[in-house]
Amino acid sequence: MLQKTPNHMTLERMGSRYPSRLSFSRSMLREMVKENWKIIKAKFDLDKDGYGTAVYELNTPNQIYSLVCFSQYIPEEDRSDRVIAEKWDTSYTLHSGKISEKNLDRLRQNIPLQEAGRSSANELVMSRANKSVRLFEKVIECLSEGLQPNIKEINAVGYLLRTTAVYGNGKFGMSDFVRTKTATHFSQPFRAEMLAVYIIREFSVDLVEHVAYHKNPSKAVKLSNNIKQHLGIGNSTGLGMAPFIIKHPTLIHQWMSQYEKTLNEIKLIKNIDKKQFNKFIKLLHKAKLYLDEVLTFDEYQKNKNYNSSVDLNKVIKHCEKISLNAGSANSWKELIEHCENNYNYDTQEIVKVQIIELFPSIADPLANDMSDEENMGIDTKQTILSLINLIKNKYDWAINIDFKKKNNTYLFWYISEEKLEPRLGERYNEKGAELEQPLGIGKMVNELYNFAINLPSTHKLNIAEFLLKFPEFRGIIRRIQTLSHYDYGEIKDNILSKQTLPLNMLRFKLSFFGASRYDPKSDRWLRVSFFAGAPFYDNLSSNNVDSWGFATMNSYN
Amino acid sequence: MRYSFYEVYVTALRAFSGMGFPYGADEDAAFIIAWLELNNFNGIKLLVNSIDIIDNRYSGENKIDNNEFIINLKNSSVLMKGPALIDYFESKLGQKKKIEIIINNCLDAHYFIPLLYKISPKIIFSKLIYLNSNNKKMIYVFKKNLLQAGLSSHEIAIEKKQVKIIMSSEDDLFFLDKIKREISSSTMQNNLAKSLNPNIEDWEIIEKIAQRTFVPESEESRIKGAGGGDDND
Repeated sequence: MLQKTPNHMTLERMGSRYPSRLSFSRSMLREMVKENWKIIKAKFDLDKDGYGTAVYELNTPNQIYSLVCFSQYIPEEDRSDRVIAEKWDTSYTLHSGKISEKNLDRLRQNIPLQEAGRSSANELVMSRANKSVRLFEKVIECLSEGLQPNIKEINAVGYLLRTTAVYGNGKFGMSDFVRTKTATHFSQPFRAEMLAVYIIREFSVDLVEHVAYHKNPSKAVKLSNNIKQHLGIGNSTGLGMAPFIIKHPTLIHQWMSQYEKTLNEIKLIKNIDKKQFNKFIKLLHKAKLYLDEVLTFDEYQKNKNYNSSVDLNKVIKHCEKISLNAGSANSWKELIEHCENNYNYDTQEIVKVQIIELFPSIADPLANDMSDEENMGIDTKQTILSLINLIKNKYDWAINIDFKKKNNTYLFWYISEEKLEPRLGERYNEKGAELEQPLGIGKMVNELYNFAINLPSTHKLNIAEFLLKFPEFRGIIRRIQTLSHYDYGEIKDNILSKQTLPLNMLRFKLSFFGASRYDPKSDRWLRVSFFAGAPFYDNLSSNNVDSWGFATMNSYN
Repeated sequence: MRYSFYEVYVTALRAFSGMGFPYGADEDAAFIIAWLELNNFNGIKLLVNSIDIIDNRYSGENKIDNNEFIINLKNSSVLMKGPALIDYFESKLGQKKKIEIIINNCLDAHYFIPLLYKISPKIIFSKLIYLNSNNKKMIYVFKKNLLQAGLSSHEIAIEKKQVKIIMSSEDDLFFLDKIKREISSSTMQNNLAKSLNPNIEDWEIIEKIAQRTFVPESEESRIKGAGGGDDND
């Protein structure tokens, strides 16, 4: 008996997600604390203006890794967040092992070039970051005068450096993930990338303090801890992230499935512990304050934040009533269902991730199992009739779309010639639709379904026999069959529709990375922060490693 | 220059798409090439040598005659027809414990190697025999993620452009007298650590074909396609 799949994978819901204990930035930091990883500044060879090379060495129980940082002068006019940029203020690589002079020379020739350079199988991550025009010089100015910057100015921007790409998994010659997960500590997806980003954040502060000191050695001070901790590392993200979600469906399922498993286990708990519930209410207050403080100029996001803040207030009031009536048979399940029935998607997600905070013994082991073998296979013995029934059951959202309507095929995904990056085109207004990438899953399923349903002579054939005659359906059949066991593998919306908001896909993936402070710049790219509020390495401990979600300006008092 | 498995796979995938392979068929063909390159079978060079018979000539349909275990490939490439054939034979293995397949007029039998390796966890035993371009008999034995290549004293008749594939859902007593080569997940991990090293001239040919799938930029698409506006603050 086939089960109806839950509807967690619509674009609107995906675009309402928040980071949680299961996010990769969180699980990476926990592992760092648990295994007592040591970070040392092995090299800090920067001139008075902050240009040169730095190496941060990470010692884990079994291996050494080196984050190599290159900082260079670039003219103002060359600084751009766009993926089409060719120069960056800083560039980085995470190298497996202690760095030798020979390797450092090789990396110096290649890493600042980014996509135009070459890496080796010893490099796990490559990234670059630009200085924040709004904040970088301002902070140096303050520190060199012996002053601390105002935390409100820090909050308005959120970071000193902003990464514009963080590459891994075989890109530009780097180690393939299938190798990385076997030969290094980083067996979980995006852990190596998150580690690199965390150390880049360390470098961003070391960099401004270094330049401030050389500007005025007698007066310069270091950033105070509370200001420093509010700084994250920025990230500009565009459409490059979106196809990943469609191309790695079993992996995406694993992420979602672990998240839902966490919630389902919590829902089984019969009574709410009063002390835990009070802590939960505090976490809701913290999330509300975060929403009230976080800045964005994007009207869509502003409204989302405002509406969620209003709804959160209602949830808090609802919970305060519950806490006054302690002893009644309330459960987390009831609370979650109350929120699902009464508040917007963002609020529902905030409530869920804050509940998850209370249950590390449930969430943390599941966060350490976010990987998948990603084997997509064909079940050769299934009949076409059975496949048709499978489609009816799992893809009802796709077979009911009228793809003859232009609005339902309005967009097409393609790879741009200039930077080999995914882009989104308008089919009826732009050239290139004949080179469309096979990402319109709903449309492909719809075509297969209509083809098969109108050819009854094929219904008794098995898939192997059908594909001998109709090999053009090989890819979509493999996908449908594989995902029949993966409830969360498929986006249950037509991503070719004119109404599609690509930002929703980006936010979904970013939430699993652990990004916060969503600041859309259009419907196709946005800025976020990583590790905003997280303790810096010097202060990181088991006491604070998991207490920095939804950081606000007063989180450090 | 050295490349990652990902780069070889993605470049081959784009090249197959550029040569007219449909979605799914391009993935299988790219897997074949990347696997061969990873395991030092010169996958990229083999692909270059196949361009003439596959470029804009995609024909993945297979016709099965009365004897379903004798196939005439009619000099069509295994890159196009191989994946569906292997699926078909694998589906037949449920009805019989052992099947023997003869494929005639096959120009590029080496492309069956990755396909048989890939399904080796699903079936217990398979064997591939063909004559290479130097008329040397090639014998490959596949058992659950293990490939052994070598020599056998068993008399196995094989003709030029002919392939024999034996699949069995039971272990087979057949063994190689001399194993000249073994491929397993362990050897593949070692090769990944060293990266892949395709011939640069061949690589450039495949890269050029891959470029057919890219859409040239216009100023409008640059702005609309990736976002723009206030991008530097």
